Amino acid sequence: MALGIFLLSLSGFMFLGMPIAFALVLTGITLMWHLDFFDAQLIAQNLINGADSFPLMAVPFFILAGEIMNAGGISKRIINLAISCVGHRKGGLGYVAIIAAVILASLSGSAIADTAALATLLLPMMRDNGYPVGRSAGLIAAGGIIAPIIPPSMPFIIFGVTANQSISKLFMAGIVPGVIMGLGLVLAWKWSMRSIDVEPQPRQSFKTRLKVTKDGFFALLMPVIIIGGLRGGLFTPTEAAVIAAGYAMIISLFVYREIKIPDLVPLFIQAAYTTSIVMFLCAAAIVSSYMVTLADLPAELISLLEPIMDSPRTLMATIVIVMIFIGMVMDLTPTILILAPVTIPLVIKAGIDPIYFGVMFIMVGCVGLITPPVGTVLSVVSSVAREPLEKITKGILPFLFTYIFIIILFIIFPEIVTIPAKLFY
Amino acid sequence: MDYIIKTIEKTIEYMMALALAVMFSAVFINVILRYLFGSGIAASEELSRLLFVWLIFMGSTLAVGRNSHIGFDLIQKKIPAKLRVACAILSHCLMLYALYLFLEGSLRQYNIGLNINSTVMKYPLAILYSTGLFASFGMGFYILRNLFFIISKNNKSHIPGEVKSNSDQVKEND
Amino acid sequence: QDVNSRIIRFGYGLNQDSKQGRAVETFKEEVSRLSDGKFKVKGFANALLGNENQMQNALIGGAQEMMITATSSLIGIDKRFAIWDLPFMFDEASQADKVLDGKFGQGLLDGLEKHGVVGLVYWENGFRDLTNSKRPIKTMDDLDGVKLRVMQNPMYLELFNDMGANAIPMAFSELFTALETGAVDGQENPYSTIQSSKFYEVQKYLSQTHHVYSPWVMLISKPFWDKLSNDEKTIIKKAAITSRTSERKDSREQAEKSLAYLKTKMEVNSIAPEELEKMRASARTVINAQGKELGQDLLDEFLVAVDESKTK
Ligand code: NA
Ligand code: NA
Repeated sequence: MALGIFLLSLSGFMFLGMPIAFALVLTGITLMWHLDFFDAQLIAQNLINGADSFPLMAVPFFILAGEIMNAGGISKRIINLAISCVGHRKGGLGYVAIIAAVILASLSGSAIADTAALATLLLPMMRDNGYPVGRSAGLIAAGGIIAPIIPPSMPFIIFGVTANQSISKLFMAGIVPGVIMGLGLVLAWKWSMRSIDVEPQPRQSFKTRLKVTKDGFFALLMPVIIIGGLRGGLFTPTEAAVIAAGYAMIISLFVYREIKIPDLVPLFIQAAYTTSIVMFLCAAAIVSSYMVTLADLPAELISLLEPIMDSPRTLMATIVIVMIFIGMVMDLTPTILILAPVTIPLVIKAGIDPIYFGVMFIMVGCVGLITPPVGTVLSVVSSVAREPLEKITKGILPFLFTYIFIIILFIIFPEIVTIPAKLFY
Repeated sequence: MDYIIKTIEKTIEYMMALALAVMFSAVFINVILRYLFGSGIAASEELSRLLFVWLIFMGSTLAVGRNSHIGFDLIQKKIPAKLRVACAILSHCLMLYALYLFLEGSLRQYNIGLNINSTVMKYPLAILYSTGLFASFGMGFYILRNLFFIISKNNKSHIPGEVKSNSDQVKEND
Repeated sequence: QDVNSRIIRFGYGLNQDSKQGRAVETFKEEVSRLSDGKFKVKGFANALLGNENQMQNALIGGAQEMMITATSSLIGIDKRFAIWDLPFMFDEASQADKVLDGKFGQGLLDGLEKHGVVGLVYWENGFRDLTNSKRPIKTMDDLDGVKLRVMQNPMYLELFNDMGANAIPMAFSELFTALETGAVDGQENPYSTIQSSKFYEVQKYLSQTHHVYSPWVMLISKPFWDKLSNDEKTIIKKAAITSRTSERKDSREQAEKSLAYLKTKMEVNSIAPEELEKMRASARTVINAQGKELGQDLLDEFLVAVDESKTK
């Protein structure tokens, strides 16, 4: 009953076209009426307390770090480094995109920021060198969504907080799946370039390569600091985000000298603004999930799924299929905020490792960012490339199927995720 | 009028940047203190969390005015213009209702918070709950303004799903 | 008797299988029995209704009915509750029981009513003890240079700094990772928390400092309370006392079990009486400072009650 009211009111409010945050608050209000627990204070309290969270404070700092990396020349140097390594191979700029995407992923926590950087810097180059634009843009979009899988990761933080799971464990569990996604892209790119002939980049001289490597050294030190620091106990995830932003700031200001201190002001404003949009959504989701908890909605769902509860793989597959459909039309953050609190009790009851589930959840959710009709990462690439969405959608297909193949693999063999996760942690 | 609003918005932006900068310093200093001196400031977490909440509600209020909150307009794009306007008016009224409840609840919590102090810094919790007053008034203002634009068929109105003919806006969720 | 059907939302921070969860269950059954099933208590574990400060506000505003809170979270409402944080006051839990349930403790609870919540009874969280990964703490000197996580409370910072440790304030949510990775060396909590939060996995030494006795307070919303008939109030009060008795018994059995378990995982040591005396002496500074902060009368009254609890 409550489940029906929840689904009906949430979709009803969303279809009216209002911001999802408001749809979530109004869904909470509807459930409040239904449960006969009506009190305006609960709305105010949950909205404000939903925003008042120390772990979620990592969000603005990872966004800030991303902003500074793009503005301060760190992202550019990583791409240059990748060019000097593999640019001269057949289809080389594609491999450059993949390598740069994986390295950037270990610096930044947001798919949007990474995709924007990759698309701005690499796509014009690929177009000028005669690479098929749709395919190239598709590759960059697909590479961009590795960012939230390899730590640091904003979606993992939000998932960890809403599902009450260890953020550090999620981070460590994401490393191997993220690298596997990168390897998958390499194969898919190789396959899709088999009959296309483009002039490779000239092989750079040893001297240039040395210079580019030296230049990129400080940028490459960043993932070492972040992942090493998290693993080695220098700091907690929230602090890691602050360190990342601080490091990016110091390198951009004093080593690369591409920005000056006054240039930081708009970056701070932008990061604060983006954060507030993400976090208002988080706070609004707390309003509805408070009521979802009061209404015992997960229990309802568990009894509904009773027949498949004793087969973890079937349950996992079912959740993945549902999520792929939801991911087509919904953005990642609201998907996490709405689904994580409902599914996590289900998953734990069925005996699925919650950390493994978190990785799968975010992977499938990220794939939603590159599926039409609503795909935020697709839109970013499309607006940077000034190409219609249909063209990029067609270009992304081989990579999309690669990801789906990887997801199926992970459902059949969860050990691929769980064993390295234990090893790293 | 527009000038005043612009100035206020600009000021809010700077306050957001300042809040973020202070949060940054508070957390950063605690990491440094821990490593170099084996100590820390007890107020660091409480202060940064308070600023965080203020930052979120300042920014999300501005975002209502700029229509940058994530929405879902696939269906709105497909329906006739008249129905689309009707939907927009209905959803604006619903949002105002939600904000009214937000305001009522915040006011109640604000009054309670006048007599309760935070654990470390001992600031009255009313400062925390006044974010709700700020946001419900601010967002309410923008939503009322847009509702007025829609009803008066003003060109400045924002209707979800409507594609403005000569606009070069990037379509966000196309 | 004059009893209506009522639903009571009861929020608490630990999980359902904790001593809090079990005691809420006891309370629920007792209330249901006394009211012939008319009162329905719905327990919400794991801080699902918010953290303690959030729930307190909900209680004051009448948006939630009942909760369990640490006394430290009540300081914002009534600063006198800081008295329970004073270190090295009790040697045994039975002494604390006397002070809590006697005139002094109940007087403090009565003072809450004008702030919008009614304090019913005290439950037990327990004595707090020290764990760390560096060395067994047998004397105060052993604390030297130990990075010790304390609650974000200036008094604790000062107390442990005075004793020679490097006290570091940190949110509880970050603590396990920090201990695991060595960002801090140690922490202090009751046995049950050390066990339930699995701190033994990342800490080697447990030193039985018993430096503070922490009670919990059962609160009910004043707006809700005022709606109740006298019969209904009696039911709640009776059930609260039943839950108190069973919670304390459970807590003490649990502490024994936890300690036995922790002994298999960690190196446990007690503190010699003369060393404890030195720590007590060192703590006098913060105790006197609290006297200034809370009022000398209250402190004196408390110290008298503590003394009485030890002689009787
Ligand atoms: Na990342
Ligand atoms: Na999608």
